[in-house]
Amino acid sequence: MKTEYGNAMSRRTFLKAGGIASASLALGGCGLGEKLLPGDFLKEFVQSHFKEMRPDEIKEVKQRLQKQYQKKYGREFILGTEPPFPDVLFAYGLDLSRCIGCRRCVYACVQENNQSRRPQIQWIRVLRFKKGTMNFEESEHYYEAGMVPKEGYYTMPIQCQNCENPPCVKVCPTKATWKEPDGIVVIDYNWCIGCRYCMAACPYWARRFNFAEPEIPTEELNTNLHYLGNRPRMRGVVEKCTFCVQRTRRGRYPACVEVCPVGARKFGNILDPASEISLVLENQRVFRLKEDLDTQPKFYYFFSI
Amino acid sequence: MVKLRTKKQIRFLLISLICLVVSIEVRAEQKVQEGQTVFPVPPPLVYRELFPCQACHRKDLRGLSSQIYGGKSYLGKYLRAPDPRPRILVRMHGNINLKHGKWHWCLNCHSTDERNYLRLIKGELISFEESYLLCGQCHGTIYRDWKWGIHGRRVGQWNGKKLYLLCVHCHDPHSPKYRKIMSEDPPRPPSYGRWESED
Repeated sequence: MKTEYGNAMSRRTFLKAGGIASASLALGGCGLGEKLLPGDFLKEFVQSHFKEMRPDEIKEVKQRLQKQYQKKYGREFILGTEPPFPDVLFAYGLDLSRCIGCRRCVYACVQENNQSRRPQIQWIRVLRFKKGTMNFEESEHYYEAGMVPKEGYYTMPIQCQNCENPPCVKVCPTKATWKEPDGIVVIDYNWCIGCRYCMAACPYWARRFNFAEPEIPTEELNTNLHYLGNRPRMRGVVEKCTFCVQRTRRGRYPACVEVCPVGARKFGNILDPASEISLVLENQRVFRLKEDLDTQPKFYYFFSI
Repeated sequence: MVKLRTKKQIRFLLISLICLVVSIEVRAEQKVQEGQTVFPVPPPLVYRELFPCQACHRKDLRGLSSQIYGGKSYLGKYLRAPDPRPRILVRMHGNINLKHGKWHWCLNCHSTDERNYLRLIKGELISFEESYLLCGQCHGTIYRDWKWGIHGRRVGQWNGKKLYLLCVHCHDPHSPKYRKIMSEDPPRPPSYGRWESED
């Protein structure tokens, strides 16, 4: 076969090469690839989807990633793959009458979840509105640092709402993002192809894309990782808030809840009637953002005054 | 009346007396109200500063000053019997700016005799760790919300042990309006394809 660019490749050679390539891929898919193909790169290439991994595969992936991160950043990492708690459905509450817009949550989240510092990625976005209005197009996102609360304004942080009916999950062509039984929408970064359909589908502007290789200072890295949460991401994948899956699956509060200086953020198990979030839903005036879209967010804004 | 003959007997009597006094003191310290939930809280901020209050507000030395020093010594002035009249504090605690409702005065909340404790309206003494009981006397709805976890901040585990921050961890009890704080930097605006510059 002679192409117009002058490269000579016979039909037979082309078919041979293609055959070998597809055979190796098929072998990889059925598990033999790990033995036949050496190197971590190839192992990563043939890695299964997280939901389809056997326990021994999960263990192998954990060890490989820990080794890989240690080599890259020179620090010891604890990579967890904790499953969800049974009979738990996480929900989040945010008290709009208390939030002062200090952005402590934004930076605690960046620190906790190993978000890229350059280019800058922040999962929480704090919008500032003039009092008496709630027009998102007139809200300020880049309002300057200063003494808060500022008179005449109120603020509204927005992050992933971990919807019960998530539009981002529906559009994912590789099933790289899904809703876990405890209600958290997670991403398997190894399966994300970076098509950004989910970003287009999300009505809350909650997903972020790694346009470049993320840069994180080594000393600022959080070494408590979760496979589905804050493990260091690569270029070309989408990331988002997971209610700090690495903390909540170990029983702790998310980082933004603990850092909020006014205690505006509430978190808990919505199936437990004595939890804070259940009491909020029972006793406060609650609304969900863009409820008319039927995304059924598990992120409740409320007013306690 | 027992006759004390030997040194041993006197020593025994003295030691038992000291033990009795200490045990009474300890019991007073560990006063826990019956039928009341005690919330786990981090140490109140006052413990870092001027505590114990009774190091200065000493009951045992009260009234002695005027006799010994004739009210003239520097120290003697602070050892007077407590003056319950509302006034502006000049020599000590001058940094306290009391802006908490009307008709407020130290001894509404602080106990006159037991300065290491706070005093409820009922007259009951409570420690500084339980100061939420004191605040809850007037701010009932907020106290209810705090107990539920709607008002205030908690740290720890959502399904287990957690610490409840006291009212006074965030609000200065003497001027409780939440003070303004500095907000963090805004995010950098998008660079539209250009590599963003470092600020």
